[in-house]
Amino acid sequence: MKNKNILFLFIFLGFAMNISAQKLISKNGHIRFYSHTPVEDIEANNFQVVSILDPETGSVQFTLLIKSFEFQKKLMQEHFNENYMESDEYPKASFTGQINNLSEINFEKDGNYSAKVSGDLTIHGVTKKINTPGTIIVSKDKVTATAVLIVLPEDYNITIPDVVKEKIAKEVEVTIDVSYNKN
Amino acid sequence: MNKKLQFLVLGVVLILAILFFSVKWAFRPASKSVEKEKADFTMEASALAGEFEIDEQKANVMYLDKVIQVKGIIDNISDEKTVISVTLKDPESLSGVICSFDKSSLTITQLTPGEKITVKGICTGYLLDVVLSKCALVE
Repeated sequence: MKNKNILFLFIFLGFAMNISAQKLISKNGHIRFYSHTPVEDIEANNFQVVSILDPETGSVQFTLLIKSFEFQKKLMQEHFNENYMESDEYPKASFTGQINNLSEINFEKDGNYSAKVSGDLTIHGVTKKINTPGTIIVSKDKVTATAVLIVLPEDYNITIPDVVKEKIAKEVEVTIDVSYNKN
Repeated sequence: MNKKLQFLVLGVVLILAILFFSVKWAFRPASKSVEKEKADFTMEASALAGEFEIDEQKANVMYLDKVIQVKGIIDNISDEKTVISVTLKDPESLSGVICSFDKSSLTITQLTPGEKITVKGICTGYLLDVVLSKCALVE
């Protein structure tokens, strides 16, 4: 009888540990990019970003489909996919990285934490190491990760024809906003 | 002489009109849903997800940018800032189909999990699930 209780305790403990070690997954994160020039402001939104954050190890991952970016103008979206991002050849962009100051973030306690993230960003088939600050907001039923970073199309071999050079910024602002539901 | 002038004026007007409409066409706003478009493929959501699971490359060639109409059971509904994401998934399959609706084309109260619905949207690819964007509810 006692043995049985101990067994149950172990099963329960295993269960409890499993829950705390659970990865946070989001399938509808939001990534927006914004290009500002005196001639034109261009904005596109992607609401189908998949992200996995592991509170135990601090590993963090984002994957998105280039074709899921939505523009205000249809032609812009076509040019973006066909001419600049070549999304038939490179359908996805991704980031795989690490929260470097994990010890400063308490995923069990509500609050705003600043995170230092570094890792590999892959766009248009080119991978670059990046470093970026971010914010992690822990609340009762969810965790939200946000960050703003600057991406240079040039770095990822994205060539912009001279005709439209004036309309597309050399530095594109990328805003990340992902909410993970706690289970 | 008079006739020549008339032709000239008519020609100029015609050219201007063509120019006006082509510029208007080029800068037309992106539509919010594929409601008025005809589906290129009609299938079960689980069948579409299955094809991507088996061979993503092949499925990409076949389905990317195409309007696909799928029928499936609602697994999850999530209300985001400007979109509503509805996941169609069979309980026994690994991946499903995420359908993204603009808020102007769907009211969240129209749907309940477990219900079987038909949706069409543009296929943008496969992550953990197949993604359809600019969706419209068919029934």
